[in-house]
Amino acid sequence: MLETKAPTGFALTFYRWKKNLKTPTPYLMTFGIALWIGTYYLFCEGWELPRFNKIPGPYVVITEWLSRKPAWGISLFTEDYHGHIVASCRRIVIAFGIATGIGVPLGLFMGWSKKFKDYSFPILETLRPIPILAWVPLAILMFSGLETPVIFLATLASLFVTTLNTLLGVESIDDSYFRAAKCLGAKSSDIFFHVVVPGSLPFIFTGLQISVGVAWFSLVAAEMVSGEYGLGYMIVDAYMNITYVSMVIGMLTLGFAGWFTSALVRWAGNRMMQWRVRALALEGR
Amino acid sequence: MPSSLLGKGAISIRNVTKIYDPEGVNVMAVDDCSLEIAAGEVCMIVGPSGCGKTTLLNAIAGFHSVTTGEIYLDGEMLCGPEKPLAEQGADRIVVFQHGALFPWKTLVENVAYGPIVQGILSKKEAHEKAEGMLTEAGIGDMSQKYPGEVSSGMARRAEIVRALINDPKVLLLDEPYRAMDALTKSIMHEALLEVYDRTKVTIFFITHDLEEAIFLGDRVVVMTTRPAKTKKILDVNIPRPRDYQVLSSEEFRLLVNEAKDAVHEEAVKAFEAGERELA
Amino acid sequence: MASGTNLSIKKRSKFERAISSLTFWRGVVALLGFLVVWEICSRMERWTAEYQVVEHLIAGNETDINKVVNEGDVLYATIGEYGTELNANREMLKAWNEKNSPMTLKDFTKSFVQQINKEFKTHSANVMERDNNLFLIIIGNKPEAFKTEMTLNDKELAGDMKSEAFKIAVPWIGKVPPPTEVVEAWTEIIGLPGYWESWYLSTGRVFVGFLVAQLIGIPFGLALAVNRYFRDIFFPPFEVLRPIPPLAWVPASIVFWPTTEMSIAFVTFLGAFFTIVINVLGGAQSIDVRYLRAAQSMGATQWHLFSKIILPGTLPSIFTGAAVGMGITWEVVLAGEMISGGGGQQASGGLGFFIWSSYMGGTVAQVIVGMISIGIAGYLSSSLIRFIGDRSMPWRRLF
Repeated sequence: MLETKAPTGFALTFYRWKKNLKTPTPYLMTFGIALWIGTYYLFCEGWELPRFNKIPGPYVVITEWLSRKPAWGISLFTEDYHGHIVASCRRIVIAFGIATGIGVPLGLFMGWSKKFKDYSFPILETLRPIPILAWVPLAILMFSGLETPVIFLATLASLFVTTLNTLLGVESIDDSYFRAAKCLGAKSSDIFFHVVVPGSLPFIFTGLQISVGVAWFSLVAAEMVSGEYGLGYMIVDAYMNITYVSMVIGMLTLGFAGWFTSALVRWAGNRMMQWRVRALALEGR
Repeated sequence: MPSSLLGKGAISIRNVTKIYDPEGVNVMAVDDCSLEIAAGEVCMIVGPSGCGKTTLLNAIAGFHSVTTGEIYLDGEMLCGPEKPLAEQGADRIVVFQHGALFPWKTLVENVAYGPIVQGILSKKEAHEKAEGMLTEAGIGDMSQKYPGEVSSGMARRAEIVRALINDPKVLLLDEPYRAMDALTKSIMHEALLEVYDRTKVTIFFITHDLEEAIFLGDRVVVMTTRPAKTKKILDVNIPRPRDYQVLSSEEFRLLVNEAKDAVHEEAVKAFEAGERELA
Repeated sequence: MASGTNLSIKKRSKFERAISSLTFWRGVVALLGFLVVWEICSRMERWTAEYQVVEHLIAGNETDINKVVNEGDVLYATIGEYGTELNANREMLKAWNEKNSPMTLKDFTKSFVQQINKEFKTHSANVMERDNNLFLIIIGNKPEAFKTEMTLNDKELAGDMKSEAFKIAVPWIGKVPPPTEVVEAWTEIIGLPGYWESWYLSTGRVFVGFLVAQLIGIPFGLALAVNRYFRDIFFPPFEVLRPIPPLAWVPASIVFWPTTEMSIAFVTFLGAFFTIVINVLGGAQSIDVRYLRAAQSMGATQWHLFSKIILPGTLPSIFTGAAVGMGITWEVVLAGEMISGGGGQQASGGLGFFIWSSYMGGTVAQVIVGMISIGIAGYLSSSLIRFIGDRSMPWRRLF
């Protein structure tokens, strides 16, 4: 019997990487990035075009970011910077954790029991069109302190996304899996744990990836409006104090943090759905 | 009627009518259909696409209610006027058109699933039995793979094993080999016949492939276009065990022609109605 | 349809079918229930607080209770916003001592109670003795929580809020005004032109940013999908910038653009732009190659391939992206209005500003009116996109 094992994980990445180097793609990508940074540099620092000269250019930002004694107070080595990152990440972890803990079971139940969905879905759909930012004043009123309202806003935002995607996931499960399980003598609870939960996992994880992005989005907004720590606050604070370099550092850090958390969720998803990863690998994806 | 005394699971369909109500339009899928299937018989149902064959299967399996009429299994009423929806149970197991092996379980986990959830076997015993049955079916090497990693033929074979491990009275097959090429199909047919000869389980098999129907079946029931009724019943008296050489016999050719005439008329009617297939 | 004899075929309209479905009525029940629960939760505190009782310990032992009051002793109490005091002056003591034995602290407290009951219509007071303790009890009739303070000769008398057992305040939701008050606030402002101007300003900002994002995003996304080299060069910088939340751009945008209005428009554009490009790219890449091959085999030109296959094939994704982008656009416009409005910048007005200024003014009911208004506006705009999508993709309407 011929062993046809698809390479996975690191081996697969390495293989693709090696193969990729023979195409123009990586070179063009490098060129693209270089072109972008070059334009940015020339516009803001080289030629100092009007209006662009107000924005700190890449050279200033990078040197400041890596400097041990930053001119404007924020760099990789300052405690303030670490504090802001930790504060934001902590809020994201709490908000995302709560939203997942409530949203996934809620979505699963809504998909599983039509009655439950009939009662809960209209309320969800009524609240959903209200932008998260509109909740800011109410959140401040409802929860005391500075920390809870910010976490509440981020939680609310990702809760909607997680719940709806989970519901969608349950509804996307082919009817025949339910029927097959019932044919094989599965009880209602068996169906829930062996069909509903694993069947909706792909959608749940897509939802979680979006949800973590949405959580960052609302967190930044909430921190900008009310807060005394965190990356969103850092950006606004830098703007108020006219330390624009720190502002750009904050933006880039947010971008990286957003990308990193979303990659983390994707990784967790792949760990939990080996059946899917292996099937997709055979299709060359 | 060529049925084995060893067999179990006689199905009796009496005056069954089914009316769907999608989007506010009543559609009659099955109209006053009666059919007696002996225990251990391979009964093939043939008819144009969307004629209501699957509706009949769904009524037996308990996925859909019947509007009027009764269905009995071994003399016990499955569904009738007081109980329009039959209970679903492991005595009637369905093999689906697109396959319904759980993609998140390996083949052996899939096969062992029935006995485990019914509480008949412990997890370990069930896995051992499943391994054994998969090996018997010639796919023991694949037992640790996920359905997404094996060919559709192997997946379908595993699905039949998953059904048989529960020792069902009736196997309900809904065009299981529809999407397969002719070569794979013939291998699947031989495998199914081998299983049948071993277990003598009653088989209710829906297809629109006439050669498949005559090659596998004891009887071929030709259905009319929607609403479905029995139009013609052909007895296939080709002796078992059958192999692919049957396909080139004169008897086989004559039966196919006879069936073709009956089906063609209905197919034309169905085509002219131009309705979109329901499921 | 229980019997086979009555199998009439009847057609019903969409509305009739909705009315007759259980789902519809369950939804109605759920929403009504939601409103009722909200109303009850937010009124709970005021309803129950009617029974608020505060016990102030006047004296803790027999001797103190029966101690004779000296001239100049003062009992003072504030209940809610108003205060009252009883001064043991010469005339009062004289009047008392003519009729009775010398005035004790207990008697003094009793007369204070009488005074409170005379002066306050919404609260009543009482004297209570328990375990050698003398209490003055204040009971609130007003359906609102109240605070009290008492002193005897400027010495604070401990007050025990017995009412906590009575007052049922629902956490969180209890602090939100009830729906009836929201409706009331709405009817007050619905006739004002300023309210409708907020609608107009916000909607205008959303649509400008949104349309510009569509006009630039769709061609950019299509170009990424169609041309490999273009994608290889321009997609990486796009992917680097994409994870930055749109709102993080707000300060930088204010620095860069000369007016706040323009910077709001820019951030709005960014918010929708990334979503749209990603959706267009994904949609165009998922078009079945068979369609392209079929068209090529029939001799289609490059332009035909683009306009007759790729563009219509991408339309569903374009509209999905537009719907998501619309949501983000509202979010960003609102944030822009709240941040700039809160900071007293030039670009004022709009629903976000309305919410923020209502909050600053302390009219919470109006904040909720603003939230609901934005919800409605957002819902209407995504319905508009769905409607246009349905119209422009007739092949997607199957049933």
